[in-house]
Amino acid sequence: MAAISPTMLDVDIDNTIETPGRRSDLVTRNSSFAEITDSVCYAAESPHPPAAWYIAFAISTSLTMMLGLMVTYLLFTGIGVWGNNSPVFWAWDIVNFVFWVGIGHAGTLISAILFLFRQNWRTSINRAAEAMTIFAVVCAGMFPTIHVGRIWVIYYLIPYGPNQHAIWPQFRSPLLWDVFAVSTYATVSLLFWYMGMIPDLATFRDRATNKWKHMAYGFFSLGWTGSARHWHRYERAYLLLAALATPLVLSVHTVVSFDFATSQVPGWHTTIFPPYFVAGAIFGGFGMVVTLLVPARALFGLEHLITLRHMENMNKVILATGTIVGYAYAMEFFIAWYGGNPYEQFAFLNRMFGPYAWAYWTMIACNVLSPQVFWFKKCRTSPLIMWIVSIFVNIGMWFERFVIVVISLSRDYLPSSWGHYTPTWVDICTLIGSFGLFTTLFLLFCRFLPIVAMAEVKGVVHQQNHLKAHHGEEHSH
Amino acid sequence: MADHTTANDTSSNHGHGPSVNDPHASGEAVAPARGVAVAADPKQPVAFVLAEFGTPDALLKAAKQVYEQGYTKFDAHSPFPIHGIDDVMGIRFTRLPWFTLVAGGLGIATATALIYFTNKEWYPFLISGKPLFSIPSAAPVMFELMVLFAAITTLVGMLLLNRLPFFSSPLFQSERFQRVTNDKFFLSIDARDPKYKSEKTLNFLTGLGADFIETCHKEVATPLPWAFRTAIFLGLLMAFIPVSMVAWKRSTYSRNPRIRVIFDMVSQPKKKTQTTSTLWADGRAMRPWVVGSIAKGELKADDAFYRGLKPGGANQIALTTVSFPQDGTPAPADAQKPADPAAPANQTSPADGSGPKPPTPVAAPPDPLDKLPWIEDFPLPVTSELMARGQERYNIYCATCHGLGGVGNGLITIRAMELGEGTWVQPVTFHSENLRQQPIGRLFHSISNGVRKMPGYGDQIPERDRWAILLYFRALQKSKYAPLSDVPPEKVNQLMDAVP
Amino acid sequence: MSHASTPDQHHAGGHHHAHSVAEWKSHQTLGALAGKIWLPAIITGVAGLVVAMVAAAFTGGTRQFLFAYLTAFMYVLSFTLGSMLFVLVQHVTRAGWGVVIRRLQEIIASAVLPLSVLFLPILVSVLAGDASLYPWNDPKYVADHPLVQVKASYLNSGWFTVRAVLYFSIWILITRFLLKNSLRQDQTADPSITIKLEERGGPLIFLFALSSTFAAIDWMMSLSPEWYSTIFGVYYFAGAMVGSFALLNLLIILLQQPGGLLSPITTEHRHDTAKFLFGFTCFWAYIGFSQYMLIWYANIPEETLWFQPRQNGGWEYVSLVLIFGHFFIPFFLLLRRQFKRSKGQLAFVACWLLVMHYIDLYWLIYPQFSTTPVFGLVELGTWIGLVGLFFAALVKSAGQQSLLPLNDPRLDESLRFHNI
Repeated sequence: MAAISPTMLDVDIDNTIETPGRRSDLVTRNSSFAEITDSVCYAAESPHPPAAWYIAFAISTSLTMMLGLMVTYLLFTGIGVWGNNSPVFWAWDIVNFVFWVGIGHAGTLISAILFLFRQNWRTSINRAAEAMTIFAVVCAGMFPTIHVGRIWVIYYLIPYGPNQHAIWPQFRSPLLWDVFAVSTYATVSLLFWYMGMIPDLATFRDRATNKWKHMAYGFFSLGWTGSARHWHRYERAYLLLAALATPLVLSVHTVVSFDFATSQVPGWHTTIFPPYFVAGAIFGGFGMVVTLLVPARALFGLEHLITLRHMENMNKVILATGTIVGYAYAMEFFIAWYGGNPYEQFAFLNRMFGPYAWAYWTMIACNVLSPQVFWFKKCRTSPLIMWIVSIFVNIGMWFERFVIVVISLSRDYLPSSWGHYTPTWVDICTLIGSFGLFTTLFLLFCRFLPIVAMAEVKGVVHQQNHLKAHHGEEHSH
Repeated sequence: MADHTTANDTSSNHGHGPSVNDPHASGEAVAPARGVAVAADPKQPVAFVLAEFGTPDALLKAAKQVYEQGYTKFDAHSPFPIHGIDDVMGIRFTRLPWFTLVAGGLGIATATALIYFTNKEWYPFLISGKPLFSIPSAAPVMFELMVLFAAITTLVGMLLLNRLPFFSSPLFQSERFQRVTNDKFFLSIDARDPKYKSEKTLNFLTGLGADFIETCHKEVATPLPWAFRTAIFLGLLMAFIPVSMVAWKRSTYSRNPRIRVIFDMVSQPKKKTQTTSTLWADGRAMRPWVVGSIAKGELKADDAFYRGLKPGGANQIALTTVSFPQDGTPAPADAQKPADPAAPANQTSPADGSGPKPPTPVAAPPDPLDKLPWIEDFPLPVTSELMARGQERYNIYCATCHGLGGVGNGLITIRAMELGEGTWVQPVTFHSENLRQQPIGRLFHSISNGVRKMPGYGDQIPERDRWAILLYFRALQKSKYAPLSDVPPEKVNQLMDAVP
Repeated sequence: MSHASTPDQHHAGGHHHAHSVAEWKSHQTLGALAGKIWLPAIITGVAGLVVAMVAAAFTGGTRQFLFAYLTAFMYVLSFTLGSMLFVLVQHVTRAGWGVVIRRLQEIIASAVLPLSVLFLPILVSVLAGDASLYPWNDPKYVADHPLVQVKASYLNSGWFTVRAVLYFSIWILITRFLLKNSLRQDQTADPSITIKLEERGGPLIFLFALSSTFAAIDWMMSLSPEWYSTIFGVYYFAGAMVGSFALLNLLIILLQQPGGLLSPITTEHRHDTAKFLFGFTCFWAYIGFSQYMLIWYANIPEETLWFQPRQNGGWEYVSLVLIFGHFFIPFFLLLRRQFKRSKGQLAFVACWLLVMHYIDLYWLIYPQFSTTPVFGLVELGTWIGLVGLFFAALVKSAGQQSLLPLNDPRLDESLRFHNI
């Protein structure tokens, strides 16, 4: 076996310190391939998950059931059960939609963009982040769907020849872009996630202890044998999907921002919206990844695979994107003054000092100020602090959409048509319920699917060993 | 795990711990073990020879040698992709990117067609003056469908090129091979390889330093359990049900009301106009006005302004209407009824309408309208603005039939005459003596309620505008009989120029 | 997957390349080449400007000269700004692969110091009350335009000067900091310098972002003082990144021609810089499209007034040239792996994009000067002039220092870098 080295000890080394020129280990504890397999499969193979899993699952399924009730009530009664009303026709449903779609962006960023940038640290977290993306998009897609009210006639909107249903759907609405962007995003994320999982599902298949599991995992792993010829095309396909998903993830929130920015509502129409929305989405998404992974890595004993260094890197991304969002706020503000348009100026003053000022200041505090603690390494590497900040980020990003949607709509050009929006109990329960749905799906994923991309991590470990061998060679020279 | 192999005991020692740090941990030091097939039926011919290695580097080295020996049908299996193995195995660069490129192009074409047909052909809404089909607003959809098509094709193309899914392979019979997705590295040589010779190949592999070697035999085809087959068959069958239902419903008619699970807005608990109801004795869903009630803003007490009558005249007009035929008896057609008796017959023009004709001696019944107290003067101040307004309104509402000069030669009239429309009655000229004498209130009544074939315009033209039109009407009448001295001196020349 | 994306497993063993490292380290300076470039560059530069001035005297006068000069100035400035940001980003992300190209970018970025002197003609004209460039400098214009009065407290010659000085100070400080420390590491091989650069990088990027945004607003957006766009700073930045990567690729290929110089920069590194060129070309298109789309769609007169002249009077053809020349053509060329790895083809697309980048700035600035595109001796002269002076500045800031970092702790990783 290998020569004894300090890192052979079964203790997590601190890989957040990096001496220039010597890359720190991405996987601590010098794990063997078998050990990686064992620790990742443990979550799915152990007969009983940790008690905390049961508790979390009980809570989240209850919330999901509440969501089901809310949606049923809404569909049977009508959209009137929500607080949407003139002039705030887009209210929490669109806020929640944009919030959830944004959450999804981190997954694709980690799996595609960091892949293109050769950031190997993505390998430990990409699977969970991609899963999170898909669950977030599920939650997101739900809101516009139920907002149409009578979803059983939604097929009226399908254009198969002119005017089949004697109604005239408006295909020139910017919302049409959303339909394509979000459904493409959901599909491609799913494909990407699934394709990345094929080798790991094969691992599950080969370790399955009963016939049903063997059949289920066997079916979805498509007969994967780890053949070099397969890997060759697989890797090329992975690269292609990453290259496609990168502009896709930018386009999705760009299109969402177009929904607002192509209009003329003060506070909505501003050209920086596309990049600003994308940065905000990545910011919020990373916040959610940290929120999920801090407990998950502790719960399933994956601290040596999802190390503090991974968390630290994510916190750096949060800091960077949070600051970009701050830059966009500042630019909007400056140009509102510079442009000299009184309506635009009013929109921003109204955000700061109007009836919803509390929402604006919550947003600023959570999005711009709270991530600034990540300038300090101590905060970046403390699970507790990063968890708290990540929650703030989630709150802040929700409020950002609230600020954009509700404050702008409630007071636009004509003071006589101003209004005040208040959510109903159905609004609130639906939002909470969507968190339940999201968490339920994520917990199920943790229990039944490989939450770390084993094949990729093994590749990283292999290369880490090579680097070490190389260094050893060089120093002995 | 190795119970039904003849594995050398030492082999299991090599197997543990993927000693990546030490590429020499396995293989050469100890004579490699040799296993026999794990196949369910060893009587079947050999399908693969399988060699197991402990490290990726060992596999890389072995794969290189196998390739150099000239084997073509062989493969390396590993839990993760090994960099550089493509080159040593002579794997050609995949064609997959071309699939992706073509699919992306198809996606753009589909999106363009979709946007073109929905926006330009099927639902041509004109919105904020933008062209019906424009590239900037189609770009998002083009981009998304490009990505969608390309991504799906990439995954499906990868699977097809890899000939996946493939659920049964002789390799899966090897228990050891299960660790290929965990920590072991395998090399398989297909028995169909032209270079394959059972003993020679086995010896060759042994020489490569494999930890373990075994042969996998062809498997006896085991059919799917009947339950599965039945389920798949039924599933396929049932997939046709919705399609055929839709096709059937779309191609047939039904008199039954649609089944409503949830009540839509189309089925609200209310009565629609012109329908029946059992609630009231008259069986109508619509209710008549309560007698004597006046809707808000509908009092219109000023008889002069609203009806062109002297105060109190409104009561008399109610009497006159009684003489009109009630429902049941058909209203007398214009052709039989000698036009408005108030207008002498010589002023009305029959269909051929070529100028005034000799009076037709038809004894007309007295017109009840004649007896009404019509006002003679305008009930509102006559100003030049009113005149301008009247001209504008006249040109909009009246001139199309009556002509700009009021002689009954509007564009519609001209066309109707050209086409020889038998039911068309040419409008009377405004310049007849009768119309010049008619009280202004009476003329107001004609505009409001119509006269002969002319429909009433009361619903379209507000009262004030009707008076304005009448003012212009009077001006038109006056223009035909005005002496030159009435024309302001500065306009005279202009007027002279206009005369041909 | 992951392994393929890493610099490991390159076949060069430690032994082998330790030898080759010592070999190339000795001669990575411009040497005699510096002298050969410097004087012709200065002469070309001055000659170009003189020709432009003379030509301007016969045609559009000072106004045309100033517009041409501003366009050319923003052009050469963008190279320094793009390089500056990328060096900072490399430090912040602890990038290893790009160590061998970093010194070149540090040198390009350092040319901002001489460029600050070249900004004086514009500054002096503004301070002298000349409103031929910036209409807001004309009190009569301001009096007639209520929307410009609103921002008079921002757009005035005094505050404009203060800001310009501030921007240049920030940029000079950043580039001095980067180059000095990097050169010191050549001598000391001290890894703590790397750590220092990593730590300071974040705040410096922040300063950079604000200064370059407002510089773009001040110097280009305020040419049409009524118009505004929040994305404008990002648009200039995107173009600057395209320009600076095109220049970097071209410089690498040109310097490698004589042989020996920059030999450690391999196809692998060029492949990566070409990928960045590709990526930023797409980014530029994305930002440009976003800006156009939102203004076109909302169709508000105070915003469309900026695109109006760019879609009429011949400018529509320039716009089309940009759409295809600055995006579609380089996009499809650079899409291919072989293209990015071939010296000749990459040099071609780099030159192409350098021209396109000029056209982009010309399109940003010139419609404010003339309702129809004009391009003659004045524009060509200022372009050649400032590019010549810029090259002279490059040679000066390169000096006789090594064109590659000699003792960066991650140099080894960069040398062994192997692409996907």
